Amino acid sequence: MTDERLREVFEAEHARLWRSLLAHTNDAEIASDAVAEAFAQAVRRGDALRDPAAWVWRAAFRIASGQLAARRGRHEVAPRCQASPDTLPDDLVALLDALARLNQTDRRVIVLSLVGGFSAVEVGRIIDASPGAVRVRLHRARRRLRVALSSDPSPKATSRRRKP
Amino acid sequence: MTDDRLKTGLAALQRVAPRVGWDDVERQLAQSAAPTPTLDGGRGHGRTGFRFLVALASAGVVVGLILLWPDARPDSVRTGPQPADQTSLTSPSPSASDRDTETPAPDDLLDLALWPDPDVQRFTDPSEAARSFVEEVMGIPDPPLSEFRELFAGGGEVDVFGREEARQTHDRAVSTIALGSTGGRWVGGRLEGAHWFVVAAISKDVRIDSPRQEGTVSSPVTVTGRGRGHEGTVIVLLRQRFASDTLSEQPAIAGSGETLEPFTVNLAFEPPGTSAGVIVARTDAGAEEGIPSFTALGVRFGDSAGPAG
Repeated sequence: MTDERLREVFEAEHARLWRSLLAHTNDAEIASDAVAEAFAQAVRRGDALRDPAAWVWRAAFRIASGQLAARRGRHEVAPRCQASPDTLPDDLVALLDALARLNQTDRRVIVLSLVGGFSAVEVGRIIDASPGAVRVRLHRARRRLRVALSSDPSPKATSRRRKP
Repeated sequence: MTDDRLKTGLAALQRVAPRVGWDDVERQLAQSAAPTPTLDGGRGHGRTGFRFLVALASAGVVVGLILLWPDARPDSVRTGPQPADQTSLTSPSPSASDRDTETPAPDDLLDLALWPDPDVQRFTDPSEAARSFVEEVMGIPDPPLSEFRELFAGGGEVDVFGREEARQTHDRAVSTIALGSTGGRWVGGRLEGAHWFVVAAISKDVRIDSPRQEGTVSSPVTVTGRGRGHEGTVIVLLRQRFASDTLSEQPAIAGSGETLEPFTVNLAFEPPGTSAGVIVARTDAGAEEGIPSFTALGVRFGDSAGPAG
């Protein structure tokens, strides 16, 4: 796998991957770090990757999960989204906050499906789960996301919290 | 209404410009250009095994000779009954006449247990203890396991076999679970009433060189080892002992061919308030419902300056 080929993969995948990680972590900095680190590891791996795009998605989510765990360890809460802090629409803020209230497994599955656009089989390959298990988990996660969205009465309040 | 908010939220997300470019990838590559620490050419597990053996022996039970010869096991291809000289690597089992006594059961021996929590669950069948460990700790449902092999009085091992697509089990052992026991009484050549627990897991495909078994760690802990597997992926996790929560997890790069290649990760974590943890290194199974190779060892949590990123 040449750097040039990986750059092509980067161009094709990085925006969707970054947005998925943003939705998963609610932290633009972690999303950026995870994308960069995953592709850097792919570059170092050279020809060992048969499917670099799939590998990068798996690696990026694992890296982001590790950083999330470290952030929780540092008791950091309510990370400030740095994507466009002054212009985030309320609906996006509400969505990110609702996703943040899901457990990590539910969040990862639903983000890969709704933001990543992956099928249940593809999600299963990324998270090491069977398609059946993914479908069940996705069904439950959607239900929990709806509940989380409907229980967010004041998106503007969370939006204010997010802005500097 | 809720679905509308979901749709508009997703649409808004699609309009957010990603804050990462290829120059960030190159920056990561430049930052990690420092050479990988040189590893000690195969002595790591031997020393670990020896110390582990000494610790166990001093506690009254010998369990871990398999850890002394990690290169010899567990990649043996199992194509038939266990060879008759299987126990040639081990201490001789006591004769029936020797066995009509109670085995040592020091309480501190249970401190070495990775699974199960002796206050919650106890297994009188070593195979069930191994199965529970693979399912509950490693997250592998319905694992194909060998029969329990007694290596010493009150100690032994169980192999975990590989599995390909469509749940087809193959003969190659990907990992081996080492088990010990406390309590019990030898009656008529059989150990009855012992409580079995997992003390370690080793694999030919992935090894942890540092930290050592029962070594003291604090955040961030640097885990070094060697491995090989599907696309060279090795996942390293730190878990609280007897709990399902993962304290920290990082992917690493190892070998994708026949030879083991070194990996290093730094795991930052918040001390969980308990004294013991488990470090797991596992490969990518490379197949749906496949069985990854895995190694697991116990560590102790020491004073920590706090997690680092």
